[in-house]
Amino acid sequence: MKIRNDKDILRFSGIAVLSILTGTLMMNFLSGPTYFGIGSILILMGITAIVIAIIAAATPREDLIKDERSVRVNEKAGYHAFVILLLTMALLQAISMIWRLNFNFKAVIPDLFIVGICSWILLRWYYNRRGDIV
Amino acid sequence: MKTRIKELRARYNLTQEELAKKVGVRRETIVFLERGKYNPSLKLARDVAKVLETTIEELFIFEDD
Repeated sequence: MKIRNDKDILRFSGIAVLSILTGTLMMNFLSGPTYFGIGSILILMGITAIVIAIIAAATPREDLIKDERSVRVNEKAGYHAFVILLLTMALLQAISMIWRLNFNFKAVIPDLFIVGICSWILLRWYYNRRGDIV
Repeated sequence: MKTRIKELRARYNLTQEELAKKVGVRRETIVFLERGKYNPSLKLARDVAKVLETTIEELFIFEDD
């Protein structure tokens, strides 16, 4: 596996390290629960950014090119994920009407969000693998 | 749809990666094109034909032709 160390990767990693450092300093030198909260969020963000940077560095540059096929794959997957999201909402509504459940849509919004994101990721992988995007 | 990309690529001693770089797409796209599993845009078809010094008609063969 070849790890890239170009300008973008280094810049992103630098921001991540800076975020972790700021978070650590904030947690150690400033007192109060607010600073502790902000510090821990900064550290968490920094760690996430480092993981993203490592994944991006391990991915060959040509895999990141947005060519017409990848754009079509993204568009098709996005459209179908949106349809799945709408169907899931319609199904939930139908279930709540048939069984007369006092359904609170606000409570399931995070779950619907996860359904949408997961379908998009899975469909994108599937269409990318299948190839025959028209 | 069948293509002659692989044959012409071999004639010019080009790898899939080199051809992909020349036309500005991912290697995967060339792989699917060669297998006849991807329907390219007119622009991409023209670009590939240009690199392989041929015409679109000679590069892509349709079953009903």
